[in-house]
Amino acid sequence: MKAKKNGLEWAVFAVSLLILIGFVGTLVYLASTAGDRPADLVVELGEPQQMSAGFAVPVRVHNRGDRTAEEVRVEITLAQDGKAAQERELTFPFLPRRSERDGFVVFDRDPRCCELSGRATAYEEP
Amino acid sequence: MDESASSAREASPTVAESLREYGRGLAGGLMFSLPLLYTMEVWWSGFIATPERLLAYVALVFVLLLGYNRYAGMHPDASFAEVIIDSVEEYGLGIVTATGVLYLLGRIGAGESLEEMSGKIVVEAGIVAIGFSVGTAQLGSGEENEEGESDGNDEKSDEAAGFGDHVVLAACGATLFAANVAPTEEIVVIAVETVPMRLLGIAAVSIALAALVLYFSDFAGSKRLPRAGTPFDVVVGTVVTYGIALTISAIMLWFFGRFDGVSAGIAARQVIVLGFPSVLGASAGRLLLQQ
Repeated sequence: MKAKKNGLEWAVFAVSLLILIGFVGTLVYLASTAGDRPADLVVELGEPQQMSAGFAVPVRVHNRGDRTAEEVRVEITLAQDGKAAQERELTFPFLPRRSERDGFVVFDRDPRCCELSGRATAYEEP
Repeated sequence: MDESASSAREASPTVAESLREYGRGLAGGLMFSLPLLYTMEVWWSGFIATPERLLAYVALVFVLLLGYNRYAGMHPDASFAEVIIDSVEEYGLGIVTATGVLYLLGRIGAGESLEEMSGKIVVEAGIVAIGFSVGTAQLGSGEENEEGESDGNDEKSDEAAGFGDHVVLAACGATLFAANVAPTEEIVVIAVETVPMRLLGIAAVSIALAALVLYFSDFAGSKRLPRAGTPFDVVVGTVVTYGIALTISAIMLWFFGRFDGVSAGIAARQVIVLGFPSVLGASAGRLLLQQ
C-alpha cells in the first residue's frame, strides 16, 4: 500500500488543488459574466514616430465585445482640410473578446500636419 | 539503512522517489502534448470556445484522469480518495507545465485578457495532465514499479474481463491520439473533399485496425483484454472499441468548434475522418497505456 504521502507530495497536492480551484473558479466567473454581444472594436492611435520608411503610427485595437472577431481589417485615414490624403489598411488575424492587439501603419508624410483617424471596417465571426 | 529505506517506502515514498515520479510525469506530459502546444488552432480554440465549453472540457479531462488512475495508474490498489488526490495533483502539474511551455513559446503575454490566457492554458493543460498520468505510471522502469506491477498483473488477470476498465482506457488512448489532430483544419478539409466511398474505406480500415491490434497481432498487453474466446467476442470488442473512438472524436470536434454551423452530414464525415487516429489510440494506444 503506497497510500502515505511525504511532505513534498502533500505540498504539490495543495498547490495543485489551489490552481485547479482557481482555474475552475475563473471559468465559472467568466461563464457567469459573459454576455453575448458581438465584437465591439475600438481603434486607438498612438504618437507617430519617424522611421527610415516614413512615419510609423502605432495602432491598438480593443475588442470590448463578448465574441471573438477574425480577420479584423482596420483603416487608418490621414485627412487634410477634411479630405482624405492617405489611407492605410491593417489586418489582424484574431481579436479575442475583451482583448487588444497592436500594430503599426506607415505614412509617407508626417501625420502631425493633419488629422488621423482609424476605424475597424470589417471582420469575420469565427 | 536499506531496511529503513524499504520500510520507509512502505510507509511513504522518499522525496527522491517522488521527484523521480514527477520527472517521469513531466516527460510523459510533454511527450503527448507537444504537438498540441505547437499548434495554432489550439491556441485559438482557447479563446474561441465559450467558458461553458471550457468547463465541460475540464470536467471531461478530470473524469478521464480519474478513470485512468483508477484502472491503470501508478497505485493500482489506491482508494477512491487517493485516486482523486492523484488526479488533482496531475491536473495541477499539467496546468503549471502548460503555462511554462506556452510562456517559453511566447504564447502568453501582454495584451491578452484573463479569459484568453486561461482558455489557452486550460485546453493545453488537459492533454498535458493525461500525459502526466500516463508518464508517471508507464515510463518507470525502477524497482518501485516492479512490485506494483506484479501485484497489478495478478489483480488484473482477474479483472481482465472488466468492461469499465476497457472503456476507460480505450477512451484515454483515443483522447491522447485524437487530440493531436482534432483541432486542425485538415480534418474538415478531408471530410469535405473526400468522396463517400473512400470515407467508407476509412471506416473499414479503422475497424480492421482495431480488430488486428486487439486480437490478432499479439500486441503487448492484449492478453489482459476482455476475453476473446469466440468470434462473437472479437466482434463485440472491436465494435465497442470503434464506438468509443467515434464518441471521443465527436466530443473533441464539438469542443474545438468543428460542429458549429456545419450540416449533420459534414459533422458525421468529420467524425469518421477523426475516428481513424482515434481508433488507433483506443486499441494500440490503450494497450500501451496499461503495460
